[in-house]
Amino acid sequence: MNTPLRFTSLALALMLSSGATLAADLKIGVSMSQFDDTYLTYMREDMDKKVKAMGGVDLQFVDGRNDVNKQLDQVQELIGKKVDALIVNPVDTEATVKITKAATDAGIPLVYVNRRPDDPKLPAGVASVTSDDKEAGRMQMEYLAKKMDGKGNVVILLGELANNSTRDRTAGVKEVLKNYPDIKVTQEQTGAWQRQKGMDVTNDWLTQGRDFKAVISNNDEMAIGAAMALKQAGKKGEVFVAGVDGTPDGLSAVKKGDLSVSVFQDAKGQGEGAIDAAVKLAKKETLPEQAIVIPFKLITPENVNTFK
Amino acid sequence: MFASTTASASTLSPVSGTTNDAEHPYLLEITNISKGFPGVVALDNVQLRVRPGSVLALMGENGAGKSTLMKIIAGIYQPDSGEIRLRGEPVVFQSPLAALQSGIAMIHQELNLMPHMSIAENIWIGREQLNGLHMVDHRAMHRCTAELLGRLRINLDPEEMVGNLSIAERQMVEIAKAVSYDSDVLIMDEPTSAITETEVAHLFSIIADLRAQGKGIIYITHKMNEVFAIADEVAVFRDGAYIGLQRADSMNGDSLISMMVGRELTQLFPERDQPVGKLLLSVRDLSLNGVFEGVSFDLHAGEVLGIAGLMGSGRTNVAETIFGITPSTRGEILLDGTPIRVSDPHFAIEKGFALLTEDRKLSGLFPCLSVLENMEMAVLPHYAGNGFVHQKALRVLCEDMCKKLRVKTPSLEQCIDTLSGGNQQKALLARWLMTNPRVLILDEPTRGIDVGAKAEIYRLISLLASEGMAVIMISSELPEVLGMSDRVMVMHEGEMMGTLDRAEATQERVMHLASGNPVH
Amino acid sequence: MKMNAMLENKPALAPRKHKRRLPTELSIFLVLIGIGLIFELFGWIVRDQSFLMNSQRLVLMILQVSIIGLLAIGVTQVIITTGIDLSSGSVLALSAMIAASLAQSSDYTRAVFPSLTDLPVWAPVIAGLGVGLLAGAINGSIIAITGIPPFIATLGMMVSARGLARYYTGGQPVSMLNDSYTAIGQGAMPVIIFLVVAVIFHIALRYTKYGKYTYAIGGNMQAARTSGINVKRHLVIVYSIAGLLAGLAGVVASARAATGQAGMGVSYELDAIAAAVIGGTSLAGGVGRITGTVIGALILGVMASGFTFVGVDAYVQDIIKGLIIVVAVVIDQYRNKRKLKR
Repeated sequence: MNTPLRFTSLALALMLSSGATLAADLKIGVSMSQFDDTYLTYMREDMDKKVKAMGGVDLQFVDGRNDVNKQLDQVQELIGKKVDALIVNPVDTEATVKITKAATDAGIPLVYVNRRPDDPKLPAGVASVTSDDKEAGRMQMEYLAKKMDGKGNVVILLGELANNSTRDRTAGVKEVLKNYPDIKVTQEQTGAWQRQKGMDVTNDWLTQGRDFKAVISNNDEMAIGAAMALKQAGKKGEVFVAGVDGTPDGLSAVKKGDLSVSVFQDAKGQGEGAIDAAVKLAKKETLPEQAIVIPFKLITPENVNTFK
Repeated sequence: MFASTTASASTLSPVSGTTNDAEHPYLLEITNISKGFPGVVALDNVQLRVRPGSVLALMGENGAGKSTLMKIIAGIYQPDSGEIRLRGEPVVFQSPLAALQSGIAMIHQELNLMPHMSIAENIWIGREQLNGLHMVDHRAMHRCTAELLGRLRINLDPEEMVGNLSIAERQMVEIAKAVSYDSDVLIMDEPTSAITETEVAHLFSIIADLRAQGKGIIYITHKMNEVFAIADEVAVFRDGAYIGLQRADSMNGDSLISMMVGRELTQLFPERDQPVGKLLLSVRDLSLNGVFEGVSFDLHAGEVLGIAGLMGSGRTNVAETIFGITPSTRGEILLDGTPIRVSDPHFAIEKGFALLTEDRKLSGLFPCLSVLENMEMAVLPHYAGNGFVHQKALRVLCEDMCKKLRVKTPSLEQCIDTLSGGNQQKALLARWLMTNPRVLILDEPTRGIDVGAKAEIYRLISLLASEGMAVIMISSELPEVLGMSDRVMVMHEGEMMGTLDRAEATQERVMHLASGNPVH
Repeated sequence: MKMNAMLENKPALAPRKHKRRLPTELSIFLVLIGIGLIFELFGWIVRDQSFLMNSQRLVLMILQVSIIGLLAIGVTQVIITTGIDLSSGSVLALSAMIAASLAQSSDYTRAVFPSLTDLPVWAPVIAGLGVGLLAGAINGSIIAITGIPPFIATLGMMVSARGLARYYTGGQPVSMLNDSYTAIGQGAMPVIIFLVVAVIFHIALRYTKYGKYTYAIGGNMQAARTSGINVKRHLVIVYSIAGLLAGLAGVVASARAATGQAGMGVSYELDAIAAAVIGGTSLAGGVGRITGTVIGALILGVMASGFTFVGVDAYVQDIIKGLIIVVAVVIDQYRNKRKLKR
């Protein structure tokens, strides 16, 4: 009796101590596709806040500078530092196979955040916390289509052409338009995610005397630019403007009526979800599902005050 | 007057040497070549011919058309009309390569070597010796180069980087490269313009060897003595026209000059009285670490002090130190008896110094700017109010200077690059004269300019001295130093070897000192 | 003297005054007109309306390039001295961030400096210009003192300034700027600022000592020094001016977009260099004019407007833009070469 008891207490002590070190020294490496992005910056901050509230977790951020190879190098470096878990916001969703393999080979749990890898089946120990970009496009368009009574011309402001979000959000918009044959896309131009470019392109459209009832933008920044151009041309209120992201600037634009609608991509939900998933995987707990989807929320003038 | 000897077949026939082939006595024959550029006729119906085993000197003032003709022969330009015959066969060269492959090689004035490649690589560039794997066979290349250099008695290591070679040595490499093409006709464009006398001697011995091997050599030069030293024949061009061709030994300096300028030049160096103004500048024990040591001299108003020495003897460095480009490490400079420390050209200009630099292209000209802008640069601080430049006043001044110095330019707005060397030099001299200098330092003031312009520069120097300006003139051309200077200071490897008065300065004595032997 | 009299008889070069009068920018101006006419043609074919006969659009074309144009005026002067400035886009971002942070309105709860809101408009403007000037002075001093290539020095500044712009707010955009500040970027204000600055530096380069020295240093640095020009000090001035203009561009850009963001002006330095080079500024130095640079910038603007006007596929535009940049410079060089060959 004596011996087993001793063993049990030893085992318990070991467990406790190992548990304690786990809680205190959990290191998570976070590889961001780029720091220079308003939305991702918010997500980064939300992750930081979440970790501070939890305690016992250290985050290390690296900036992939929108470069696939650079990101892979950085991920390998983090693996070399023996982090307990990895959170990756991939530069290119088609090029995640190597990252996945590097992490699984090293036995380090991996969580993709914000952008889901194109790889349909992720191996065990790899999870994703994302929102479906197509959904954002669908929500934007569905709302506007109703406002437009199902007819009229629309123009689309595209994000950076090489980005998945550009492709997917636009694809979502077009999916909805299949149901509205009287709504036509007359122009698609890139504003490279930037407010100023969005303004310039919209200005060009206006001087051409193009007739459009709505500007559908892949993000809030370009939508704000479009709204500024419309305001200057005295067309505020005549043309609907839709954005995506729900950044503070975007929210206040909806409040002021500059934007008709935006779609809230839940930076906090994604960031915190990713931290939760990573911590759970590091502690060898199981996740309820491998692909966690954080839903988008429609921001309209009516509900804008509930966001902040 | 020789100038009246026009280009006709009859003037050519008297000059007949030994011919081993009655049908094709000439290696290269050029007939009735004309070439025009928009607005200019560069060559008007000219002719020339080169015998095998001879050196043909080509002379003429800048802009006479020598270079254009040579570029036509070397395939760089295409003639508008006329014919080139090589070994009796008419030829047309579409490119420099075609000319090279037919046996015509040109050694350019501006050397075309890659400084970061070895001598061997430079010589065989584009036709490297290959081994079985089609890789460059460096050993074979080295062997061929060593053989070639040996044949030409050029004592250089084939693996040496060209960047480490002196200008003269690079010239030798260019010659070796030309010879390596088995060229029958070699064109040399002012090969001695930047090399010392001993190197010239070596070059001439190589030319003599090539002549003995039956090559035809066209030798462009401005230097009279070279013509008499190596040329068998001399052809003269003027204003795009062929003036005549004579046996070199039938000519003398005066007749050659009059052929070139179309008139008699009684005297190249103007007569000057020995002036003794007040003491202006004293230099005591001036030194620049590792470059020159212990230079001392006095300079009076109205005096011309010549500084002679070989290239690399430190002459130019003395000038640059006095002017503040490279401030001295020891010694003092006294102006009007007061010591001054010249640490910057800007300060030197304020104190009344002016320096016409040795290399026009490197440190004198602003090639893309107009004649006006080139001239006004040193006086701008005095012609600007609130930052704005007084355009009108400057224009008047520059026009005046152009007239005084006889700068030939279509307009002051003309890009200075398009002017002839002599006119560029005069414009640069004007830049300095506009600052009203008290001490004018001239470093190689007549390099690369033609006889007519030289004479004008000499006239100007003597005029300026007579007005009380103190002049320091650095030159590699001994006749020039001796002809112009009241006293001659001679330097050798950074040391002042001695100063000779006009009366005691002879070519021999100066050379003696310049070679590092003290005069007894 | 007999000799002199004879020398004067030597025929001078034939006067070619009238040829010289043709401005060197002519060819590139023709390229601009040509591109405009191509779009005009397409306009009638595709859209049944005129591309050029629309004053509003003409203003817009300039508006779109006025910020890049400001950078280009600075970089033109740097290139004339045989230098290059790669940092202008990043300095723009840094200056935009700092200026914007001092121009936030008090009814915004997330202001960077909650105690420094609703400042008079000169405060952010001076701050933005000052940051640009400082960055430029650092560029110039490093180049003048250490003698490292401008490419490297300004590359370093490009990376550091961008980093600093991000670090300043941790990547957060600086928004909700007050109206007196955003007025700087409203309507045609950027166009006016751009054109005024262009005129100022056109005059400065052509009629002042500053301009003459700039060309002299670019034409032949050694000769410039021998002519008594303080080359180092002048280089610091030139780079400082380029920095100042980048700072001004940052102020205008942030006022126009009503936000300061660390990602602003990415790769603008390359567009600015392109505008200068299209406009005839030689990367070899010593050659270049502000009028040419303005035309170069306009070519970029005409292309941007023309592409959306004709409705060129967004994915194809950059391919064409790159081609036009190269072709424009080739045409310009070809013409200049023919002119030089006498």
